[in-house]
Amino acid sequence: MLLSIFNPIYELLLGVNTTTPDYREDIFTSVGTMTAITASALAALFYLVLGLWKPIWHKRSHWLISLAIAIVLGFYFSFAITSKALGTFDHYGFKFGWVNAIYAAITFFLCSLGFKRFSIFAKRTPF
Amino acid sequence: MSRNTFVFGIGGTGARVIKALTMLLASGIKLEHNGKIIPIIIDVDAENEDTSRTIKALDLYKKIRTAAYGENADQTEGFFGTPVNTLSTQQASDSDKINDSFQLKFAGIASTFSNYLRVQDMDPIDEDFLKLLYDSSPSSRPEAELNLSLTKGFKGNPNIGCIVFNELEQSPEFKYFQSAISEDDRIFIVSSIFGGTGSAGFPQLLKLLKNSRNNRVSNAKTGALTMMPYFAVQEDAESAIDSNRFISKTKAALSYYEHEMDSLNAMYYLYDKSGNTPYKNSEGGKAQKNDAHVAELIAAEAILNFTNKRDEAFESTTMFYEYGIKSDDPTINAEHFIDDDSKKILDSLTSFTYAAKAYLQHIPGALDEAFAKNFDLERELQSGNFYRNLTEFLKDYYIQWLKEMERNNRTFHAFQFDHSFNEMVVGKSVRTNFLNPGINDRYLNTQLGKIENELSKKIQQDEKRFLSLLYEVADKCTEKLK
Repeated sequence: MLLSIFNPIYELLLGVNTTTPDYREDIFTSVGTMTAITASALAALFYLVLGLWKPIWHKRSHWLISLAIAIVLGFYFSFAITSKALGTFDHYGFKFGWVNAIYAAITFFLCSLGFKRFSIFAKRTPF
Repeated sequence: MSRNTFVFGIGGTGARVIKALTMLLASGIKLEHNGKIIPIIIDVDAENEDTSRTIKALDLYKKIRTAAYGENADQTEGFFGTPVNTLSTQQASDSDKINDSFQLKFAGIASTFSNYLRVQDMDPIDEDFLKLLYDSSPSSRPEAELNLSLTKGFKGNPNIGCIVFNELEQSPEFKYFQSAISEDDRIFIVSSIFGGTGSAGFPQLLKLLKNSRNNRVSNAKTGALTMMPYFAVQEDAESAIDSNRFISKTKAALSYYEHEMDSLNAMYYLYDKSGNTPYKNSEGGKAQKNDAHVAELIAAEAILNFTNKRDEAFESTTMFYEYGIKSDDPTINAEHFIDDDSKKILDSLTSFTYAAKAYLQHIPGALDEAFAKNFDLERELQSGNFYRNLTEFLKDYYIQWLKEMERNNRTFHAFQFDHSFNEMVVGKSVRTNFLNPGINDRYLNTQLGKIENELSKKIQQDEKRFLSLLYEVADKCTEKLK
């Protein structure tokens, strides 16, 4: 039940897919969970692992690259999981990919705000 | 226990030794008691550039220290940790206020010696007697003693200086000093023996102190350092200063000191043979700007040695000290200093030089790092008073002082400031290999970030935290040398 919070989040931007109930029943939950975990983990790696170890990946340019990675992974998860579940990646699936990429970016950004105060070298990244 | 040390620096040499002392204190050398150093520079040459530079360095020290630790802060660990105050900041209940300055100024010397003595108002007999004692050649000979202009000092004539110094007792500053000194405080006098101001002023000042009606002054533990000739000046027929006479003047002064200095608790002598490059022959004023010399650094160490002595260490008679280095080489570095006190001083200077290098050369290129943003260094380095004072002190005074000692004869070459951090200390480099590059930009940024992060949990005030940051990072760099 907790994981069904992803359904209204995706359907808010995509609309309900009445022809393919798999999205609602399975795909949104799987993709949403993977994306949330991955984006949070990327932010944690940036701020709490590398950001506490050495000043090697801590500047704004590095953060932007990490954000880009989160976005790409967000799109990739939706593509991979949808293709595996449905055997195809249709127009709705393509839109879902972009929406998930945006959600990945938002998750990464919100985690950045939360984690940065605990960092040393990335404490003032991206601002 | 707390005791203050009043350090009288007489003449250009006295001023240069006090400048060296300022650098040592800035490097974090701690006194072994909780007291202050109160420098009082006595120089009749009001425009002497050496004196001006020392006063400016002292002013910057005081401003930096006040910004970081507060105006009346006690001694603290770290750079600029020891309080260095002007005489006017000491409490003196029964004395008029004086100027807030590190320099004691003489009144009425903006004229010739003859006018100072008011020869024109003397009885003819007195005037004739005076002319037996002093060269009274016609006024067309300005180097004749009675015609000497006093505005640039006594120009190697202690027989003139002793007359002027007698007036010191009437100066507001000396009266203030007598009110301000406390029972356990100490007095130290630094001067040269071969010039005019120092060799005249030292015995006169000592006499005033020991004959004072104030017991706190006459009974204060008193030490002195006299610098024997350690440089020569270029020959100049038109100048009153002739370094060929330095040794004879020294001998004459020493024969006087032998019998008249027994009121001192400790006497330090320092001498070095003059190098191959004589200084420019400047009689005084703005032109007298001599390069710093390692002998002045050792003289400053004598001040610390004296102020740190426990009362029980003094004997009933005067204790005499000299100083020797490991070998008589024209260029010396840290390896030439063999006693423990000197080694501590050189360790502090090493640490301070690392800090100066990090501040002046590394940090300006690291302004986008988190630690720099926490201090808002991009803006503060340009416009913040504390940082501008610190930059001026380190660049124009401390590093300049090291470079002057490096180009002087005898050369003191302990640091290579313009080399890499790994190669900064002469004779000792940081070991590096493929896996360990030593002190590089990444190492410095890592240390700066981690240390600042820890310090921010205990020190909120930016200036104090920044000085502590430099201190601890410098310590990390020094550890890499071992």
